[in-house]
Amino acid sequence: MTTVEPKAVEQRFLLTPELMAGAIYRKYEKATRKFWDPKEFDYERDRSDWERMTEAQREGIITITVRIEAGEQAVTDELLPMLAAAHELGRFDWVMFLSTFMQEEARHSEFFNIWHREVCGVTRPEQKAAHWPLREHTVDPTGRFRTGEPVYEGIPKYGAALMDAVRGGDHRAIEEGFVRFATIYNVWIEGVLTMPTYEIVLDTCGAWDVLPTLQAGFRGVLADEGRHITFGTEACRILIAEHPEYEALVHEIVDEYCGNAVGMLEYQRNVPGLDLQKYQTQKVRHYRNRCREMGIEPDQTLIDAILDPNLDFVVDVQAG
Amino acid sequence: MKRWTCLEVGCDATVTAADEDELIEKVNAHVGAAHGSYELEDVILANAEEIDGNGH
Repeated sequence: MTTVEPKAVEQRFLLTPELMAGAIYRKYEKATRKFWDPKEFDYERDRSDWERMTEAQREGIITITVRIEAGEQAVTDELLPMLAAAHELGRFDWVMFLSTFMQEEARHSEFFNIWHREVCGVTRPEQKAAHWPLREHTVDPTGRFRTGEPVYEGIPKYGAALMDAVRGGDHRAIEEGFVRFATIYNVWIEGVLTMPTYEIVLDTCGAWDVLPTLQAGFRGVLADEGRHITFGTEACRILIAEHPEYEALVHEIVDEYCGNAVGMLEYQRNVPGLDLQKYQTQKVRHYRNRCREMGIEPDQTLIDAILDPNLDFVVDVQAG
Repeated sequence: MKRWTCLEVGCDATVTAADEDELIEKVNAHVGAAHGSYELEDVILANAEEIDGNGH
């Protein structure tokens, strides 16, 4: 077993005035003020709306919400490497913020679980899986792009690599692993790919005048996600400013899952009556914002592909 | 003073405000009216620049 020498007393105080004046501590402080509890919501109006919605409307919504529920649970369960890395890098303000981040992802998991139970009467994993269209149903007919599962492939892969770096104790490897993990998670999944999904649900429920509690939950989730995204981009900005060569790591990760952005995915296009081009175009704004936050140049080739009207996926949206 | 520039495709609108609350309100008024969308509070603040009274 490794022997650890106790730190000198003055080194045991990690929360310095300088950290408390910084942007990351401010996010922590805001997160503690913005707490919300899904158990305090009233689900009755959503339940009555659900009963009067058409089958196509219900399927359009639940196709999204089951994916979001599982996704929130996955990210709650996969966040630990980021926390371990922040500790190893000696960034206590990042550790503090990540303590709220993980709790918020758990809260999002709880919200969608309660909403499915209270509104749709769906509680079991196999019931939820029946509404899940498989990613293999999203196909680029040109064969240029592949759509992967960044939540279920990318996050575990880069999380495991980051944990390996933490165990290895090499500072530079941990920083590189952190940039890769923050890029797949905060920059690409939270910050670009999922953004149209939230907007689709809010636009649709608003237009149909249904499911106010689902809308309130999505707004709460979005407010939390704004802090998560900008934590990840701020952490990357700090690391890239110190080591400009880390910018290439961001582009590598985005390139790996760029196919998921160049068309709308199966679960995002199952709601009747959507203007999909609006959501497709907005991905560019989100991507440009993420690059601006990190202080890096966006990849114009990727932007051109996202905006290319000839690039649209063929989708079979049957679930299961 | 704070300034924010829109990065929506084909738009380079800028919004200036005296403080963060005003900036968030004015940015979302622009994004809602011009693009039928919204921007997250923390994203607006992360993308804002500090400027002086002369816009520099």
